[in-house]
Amino acid sequence: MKISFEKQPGDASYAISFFWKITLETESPTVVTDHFIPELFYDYFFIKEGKIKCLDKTLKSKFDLPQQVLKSIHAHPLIFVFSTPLILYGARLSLNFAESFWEEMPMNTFLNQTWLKNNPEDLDEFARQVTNCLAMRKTRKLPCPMLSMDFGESDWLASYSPRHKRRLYKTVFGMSRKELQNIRNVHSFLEQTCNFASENPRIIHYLNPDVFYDQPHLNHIFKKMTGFSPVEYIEASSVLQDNLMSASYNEVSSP
Amino acid sequence: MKFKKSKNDIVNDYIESLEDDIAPLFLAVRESVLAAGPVFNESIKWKNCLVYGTTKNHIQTVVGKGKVSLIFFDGVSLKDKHALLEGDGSKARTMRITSLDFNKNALTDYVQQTLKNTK
Repeated sequence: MKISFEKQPGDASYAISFFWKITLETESPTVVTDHFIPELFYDYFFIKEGKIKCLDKTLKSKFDLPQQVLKSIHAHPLIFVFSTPLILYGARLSLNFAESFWEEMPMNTFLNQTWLKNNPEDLDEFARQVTNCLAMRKTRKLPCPMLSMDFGESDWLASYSPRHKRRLYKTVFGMSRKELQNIRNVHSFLEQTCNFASENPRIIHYLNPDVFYDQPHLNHIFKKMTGFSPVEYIEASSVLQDNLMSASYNEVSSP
Repeated sequence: MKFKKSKNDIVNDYIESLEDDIAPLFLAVRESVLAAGPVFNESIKWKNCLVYGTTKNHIQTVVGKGKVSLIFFDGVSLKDKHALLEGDGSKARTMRITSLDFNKNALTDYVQQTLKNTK
């Protein structure tokens, strides 16, 4: 199997972290399984060639992704089954995209969207069409951003009651702050430089005590969120997820 | 920095971001791994670990101070006639490489065994 992954910078004014294109080529048509874990990003997919089936074990559903689709934040793992040859374009959108999205953004869903008017020939054209669409349709749901760069709550929310804030989170992000924080906690562990070779520090040395009480706590949350133990996770190959995650960690972070 | 570009932009970004003192060693190791296992796809797992995989990840490269470690995820299944693999875990074994005159034959042997064992 030959895999290529291209990346292009996004546009922060539209909450686009980056654009990407992945190509999977095999000698004969086959299926490739990819494990997707929860992340604090929205992903827009355009399937140029091939098929993607999504298995959601938590919701016990199985369906083909439409050609253009927006993946909202999921709080549980997903399995994507790619049929090769596959050419897939995508735009990774940061959390604050939800604040300017023109529709409701429920969690754990794939929203049918048509952001592209024409079939793009390359990543440049895909990026141009997505940016144009967002520029035209962007709608501010709130007067100011809810979250700061470091995931802190913006000052203007301080005067609201906890109940009203819960409603705001649900309306904007489709999930509670606690659910968002749980996903962030797992990634605060993953985005470290971990080296689990023998004779090297063990997982426990990478635990942030402000986030996880102990290793069983990490293992429990990690398994719930990803379906794997931390060590199983690094061995598992997730062609698309690994690349997207790595690209996201190495981007300048935005909420 | 001159190196054979990967088909993965993120891998290229990662290599370009390596410190000058470790980059030559890293590139030499990468060249040997890819020569021994041309079917490998490269990707970056987590934030900054280069992994070589086919349908599953097999080898992880970790850059340390003055060394490059290659972690063979199923290293326990490798026949270690060169006695260069370290570790006593239930699965993984590590080959530490600290200089450019590392044992390329051993590395090639480990990589080829890894690929053979996955078939």
